[in-house]
Amino acid sequence: MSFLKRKTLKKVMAYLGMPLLFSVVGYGLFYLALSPLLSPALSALSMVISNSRPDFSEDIHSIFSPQEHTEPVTSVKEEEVQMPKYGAHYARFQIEIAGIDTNLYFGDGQEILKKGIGQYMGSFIPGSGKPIMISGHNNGVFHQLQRVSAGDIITITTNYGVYEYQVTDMGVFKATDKSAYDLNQEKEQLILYTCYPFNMLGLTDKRYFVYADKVSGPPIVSE
Amino acid sequence: MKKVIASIMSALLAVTVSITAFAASGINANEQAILDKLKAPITVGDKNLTLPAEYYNQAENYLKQDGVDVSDEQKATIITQIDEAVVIVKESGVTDLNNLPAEAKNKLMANAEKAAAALDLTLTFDSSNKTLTVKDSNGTVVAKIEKVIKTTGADTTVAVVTVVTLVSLLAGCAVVARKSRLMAK
Repeated sequence: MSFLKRKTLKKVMAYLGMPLLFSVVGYGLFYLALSPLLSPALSALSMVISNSRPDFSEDIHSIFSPQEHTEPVTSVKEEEVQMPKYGAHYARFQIEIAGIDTNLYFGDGQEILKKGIGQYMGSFIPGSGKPIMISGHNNGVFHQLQRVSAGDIITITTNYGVYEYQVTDMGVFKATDKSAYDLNQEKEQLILYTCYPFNMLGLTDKRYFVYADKVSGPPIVSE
Repeated sequence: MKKVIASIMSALLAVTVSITAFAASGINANEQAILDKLKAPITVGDKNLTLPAEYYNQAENYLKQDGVDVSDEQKATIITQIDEAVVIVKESGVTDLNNLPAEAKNKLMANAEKAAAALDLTLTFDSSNKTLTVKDSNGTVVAKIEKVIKTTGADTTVAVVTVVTLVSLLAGCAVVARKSRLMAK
């Protein structure tokens, strides 16, 4: 190869080849790095900017199909309640004052928390008369949990009834602190939590808890 | 021919109805007996040990599932395994279940697998995150033995490592380019 050709090739590599290579590799690496952060943010954004009613029809793992009741429902028979399985979208969760309106899933694995908020399987569904523990990401739907205060109403709509809970308390605890919750209680208490501080970048050992007591909704009764 | 088809359809209908009847949710007497056994405290010395609420609650939720109806035979198998597990815990002498020796834990795991098999369930232990997952015959998760409070924040570890790697690569390329005089006029 002549000296001139070698020089031209060097210039092409320097001013075209290498920048192109860096662009492709750099873009790819940034996408890989930021995708865990972008995914929940985009999910939350799609709920905030949507003007239409949430469409659950495409959620293939959804059992949510609320019924219209012409008369007030005073109780629900246990055999009429379809117990959700892991990963099933089974209810609608709303906190109007905080602008939260999202799907509630059964189970709280990471693949579920990417889609919405999840109920811990070691707690119970609304109407059971026992604690309900729900978690969500602090950079997703539950980022707005910081706007919730005592007296606010939380609504959970299921196929078998609409349940309302009134916020009684909030608190910050370590993730390993078992005094933050009581899953043994014979009381229908809603326990919400997310990572704290809300704007923390990186993992934290603290959780922000919101507690609410049931104020209305049909109890599930066995015969 | 019509009579044959009608008979087959009737039989199919009867089977479907019977399956539907058994698919109702709720706790039957056998399931309640199992739950009562799980809730009963184990006395070791002067201490009463109980199954953590989060594990008991998952058992209760699973037994309420549509299509889960424990038979007399299944109940007998499960209660036998629970009784054997109680003996193992008592013989270990520990007053905190977290302090069970490895040998006792292995025996308890064997009991749990036999009890699970009676309901056509499988157990899988993931040592990387110390999670025991129970799945049904369809592969659906029915219970998880893991930490109660999950990670609900953004993990930027991957982002930090990636950015540092990228910057190092760029710096290295700049040094190589300079030495090779790629930018020289």
